[in-house]
Amino acid sequence: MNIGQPVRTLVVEPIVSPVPDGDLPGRPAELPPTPTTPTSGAAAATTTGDLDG
Amino acid sequence: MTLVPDVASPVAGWRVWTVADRGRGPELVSPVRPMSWIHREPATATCLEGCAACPSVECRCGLYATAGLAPLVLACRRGAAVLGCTALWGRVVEHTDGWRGEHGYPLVLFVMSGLLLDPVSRIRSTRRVTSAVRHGLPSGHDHVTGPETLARELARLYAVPAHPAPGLAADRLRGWARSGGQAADAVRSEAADGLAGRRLGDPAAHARLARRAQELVDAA
Repeated sequence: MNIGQPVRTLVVEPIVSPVPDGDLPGRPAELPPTPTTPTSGAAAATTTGDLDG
Repeated sequence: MTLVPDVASPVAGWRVWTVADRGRGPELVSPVRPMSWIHREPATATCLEGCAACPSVECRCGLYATAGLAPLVLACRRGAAVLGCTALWGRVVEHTDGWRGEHGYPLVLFVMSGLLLDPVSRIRSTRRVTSAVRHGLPSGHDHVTGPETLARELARLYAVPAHPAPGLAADRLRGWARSGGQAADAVRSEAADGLAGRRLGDPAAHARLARRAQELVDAA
């Protein structure tokens, strides 16, 4: 196959790999579930107190 | 010594393949040398002359890809019938009309008619289809039946878009080389530029490449 004369040599490092890592087309990458915000100690105490009262 | 990369996105160029069946389903094979491009693995060039860093400027080694479609017509006369835009990366030697790369993986494929399977693959495919039909099972790798089925199989196995392009490969390539230059450039550009979006599942990126591919199929 004739591709002409060599011009230069490049080092190409793609940020995104062209090889699919087991992902399937049509199935998007998934983010991990967002962790729930922990309830502060004061809020928990108030809640407990209300229930006791 | 660590080399600083010159480019952060893969080079995209055209090449053709023939297809072989080595028991793992249809595989793309170089029409010049019996080298398989394995599903979901990068193809890596090796040098028969023993170049330590392949491809080297002085040698002719490496995975070839062209900027335009005209140089590929001859390969299609030898039985190659799968045209594709391939990503090249690693060490890449840029030429005036194409590239030689260290690693490669297809980005988008076009399956035409006129494919010549090597004799072993032809026997395997025929046996598998015959056996499946006899037992009332889906024949699986019945890619001897036509471009549509082969395109579906290649898309599934390589996880890249594959489009049937009816017509004999050599005629198709000649037509595209004559009048489909702009459409081919648009596919090559979108295949590389939209890679990140497609990997992240962006439907707009998939749709853009599908539109460009359809324009190329309609161009000849």
